[in-house]
Amino acid sequence: MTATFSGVNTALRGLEAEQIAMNVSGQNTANASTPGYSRQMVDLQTTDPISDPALGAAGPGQMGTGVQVASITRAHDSFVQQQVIYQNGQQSQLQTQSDTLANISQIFNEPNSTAGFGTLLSNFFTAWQGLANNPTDPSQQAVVAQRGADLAGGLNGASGSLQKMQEQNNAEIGGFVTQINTLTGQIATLNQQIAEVTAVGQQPNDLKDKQDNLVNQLSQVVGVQATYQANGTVNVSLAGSGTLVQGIQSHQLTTVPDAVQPQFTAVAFQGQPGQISVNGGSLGGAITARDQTLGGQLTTLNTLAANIASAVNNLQSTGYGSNGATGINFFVGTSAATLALNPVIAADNTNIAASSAPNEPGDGSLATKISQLQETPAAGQPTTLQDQYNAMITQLGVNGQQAQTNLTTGTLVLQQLTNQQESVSSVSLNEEASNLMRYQQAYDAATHVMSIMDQTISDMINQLGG
Amino acid sequence: MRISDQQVADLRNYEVNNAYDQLIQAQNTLSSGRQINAPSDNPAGTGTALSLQDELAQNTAFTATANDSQSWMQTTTNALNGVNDTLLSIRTLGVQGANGTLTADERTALANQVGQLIQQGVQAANATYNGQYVLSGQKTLTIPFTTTTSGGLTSVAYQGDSAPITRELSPGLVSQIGIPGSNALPAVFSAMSQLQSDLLGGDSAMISGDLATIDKAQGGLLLAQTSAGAITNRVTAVQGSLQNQNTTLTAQWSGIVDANFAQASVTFNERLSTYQASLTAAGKVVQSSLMDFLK
Repeated sequence: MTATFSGVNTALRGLEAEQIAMNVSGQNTANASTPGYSRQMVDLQTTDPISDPALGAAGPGQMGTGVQVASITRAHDSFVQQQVIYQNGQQSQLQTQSDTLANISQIFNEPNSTAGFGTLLSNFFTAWQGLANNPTDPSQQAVVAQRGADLAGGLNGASGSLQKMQEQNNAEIGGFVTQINTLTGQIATLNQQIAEVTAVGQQPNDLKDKQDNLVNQLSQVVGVQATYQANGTVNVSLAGSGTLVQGIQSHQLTTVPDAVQPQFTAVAFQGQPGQISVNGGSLGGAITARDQTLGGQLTTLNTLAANIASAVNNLQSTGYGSNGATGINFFVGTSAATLALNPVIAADNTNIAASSAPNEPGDGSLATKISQLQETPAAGQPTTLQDQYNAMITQLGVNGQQAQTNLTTGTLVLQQLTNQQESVSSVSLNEEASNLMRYQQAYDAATHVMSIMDQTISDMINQLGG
Repeated sequence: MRISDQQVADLRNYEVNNAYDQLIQAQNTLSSGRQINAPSDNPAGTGTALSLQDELAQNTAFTATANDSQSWMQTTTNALNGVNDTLLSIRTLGVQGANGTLTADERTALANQVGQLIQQGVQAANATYNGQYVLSGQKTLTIPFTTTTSGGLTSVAYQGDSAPITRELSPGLVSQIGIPGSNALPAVFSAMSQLQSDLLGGDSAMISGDLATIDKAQGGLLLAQTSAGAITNRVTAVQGSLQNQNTTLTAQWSGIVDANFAQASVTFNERLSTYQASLTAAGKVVQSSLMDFLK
């Protein structure tokens, strides 16, 4: 025998459950365009049946008691999320790399037959050929001195620009570290809130979305790995370099002078000795651009400058100027930053040696030898100076192209991952509309059930009482 | 696959952006007129373009050398021709002087004329190009021929050296440009002086002998003129080939770096169509949802 009003209760539970389902649908619809929002789903379950043997023994079996909302969960794919975190780190670094290479290319302005950096080199050699034709002509001597100073100035300028770019990258590091500290602090605080919610057996859906957002932001600044715990909290670590967030504890980073290049900044954990290596993200990108991309370019440029100086000086110092002077170097300095026209030559152009022998004003054979450095490699150098320069530019192009290709590929991968994530997590208005219709109909039906029961019971009371 | 509204919006953004990016790249090629704007656009092409730039710069330098050498040889040829002219005039005077009927005064007058012609010849031989003496060998700042006159006799001394001027005419090829004055000219001037001396001496037989010496010296001078002509011809040939090379190199460089306008325009139009199509599609895609049909 069942209680008279139990059917009303069952219908009421139906009303309440459908009401919650419609509310969740409303929440989803309202957040249809909220970034990082994961749609929520109601998990409907039947309530416990009446299981008292005394009550049930006489009946046909266990009687159902209605429906309840067991939980509200979010649609989320944590495997894709892990990949997004990794790809974010790669992507920011690739972007910095690609931008840096494009900026370096602009310094040299190649290919350009009239205004490229390479014309400084070819103009220099052309001037020597002119001097070979007229070894005692003061105007030709002046042209050689000027072109030499131009070449040295061009190398100084290029070196300066590269160093400036290094400094700009270096200056960004402090800002990135502050950003990382803010984000890890927020993640740790959020971990605490999430742990509190899960401890009482509830789903911290919106907090988890916020957590994902923060970890995503962090992964764009620096390459990280995230490990999700059963209680919903996340532990975040730098790939191979230590833990940033462990439960409710965050470890702050700080900047220290670099051990190898003290003029630059390195990253370290606060209160711990020694700098750490950082990869990925804007921070990893800035450090890679500073040390490898720009640093490597500077090394190549310095080698070129040193080779120019030694190739020209080795010949120049053996020759004789139109004033009879000998043993004078053309360039001073051995790096791109320090290369300069020898002040002795700048002060008196007749010191420029064009002749292989003294007192032979018509002898321009030494100037010819120097101009021939265009065609023949200098002693001890595998290729000509111009081939060295060309190889440097070609390599720059290859690197730039590769960086662009990697960036394009990375963008596609990220696009694909986002697509997968949105396929699972984002709101579909069609789906919500369809759900709403379902919930509405079920709600309507439940009210009908209730009204029929009301009618039945009141009939019974009135007729038996009448 | 489940499709969410966010996905549709993102895809729409991505496709429109992508089409726009492609279009802008095509527009860059068209407006800059270049298909390589940075080394990363085409690293291999950039390498070739840079080598061609070097060759073009060298070509320009060698053209300047060839033009300069041409002028140098022109001056040299003129100088040798000038000396030859005076030698011919002197020989005519020698033929007159060999005539036994001339008086001593008449011979002295002839000798004076010879002296003036020697000065004229020396002046021709001391020609300069761009402040440098073309016939002093490598001592280009030293006047090649100086005259001294004593007792009506003019003698000529060579002050230069015998090393020829050299120029690098084409890569790695250093050629002799110019004729040192030590070559043929001292014999010419000494034959002239000898005639002058013998005219003053008055011995017809000796004067006739001098004519033979003059002829021999003129033979040497002719050889020098011939080799000057040969050098000039070589320089002219080099100028021609440099000119051809320049045209070829410029065309090759342009082929690699410059845009092919016909092709670039076609690409631009294709991409413009794609962009417009993606805009149209983006504008039309899912403007309505099931929500619109809920009453």
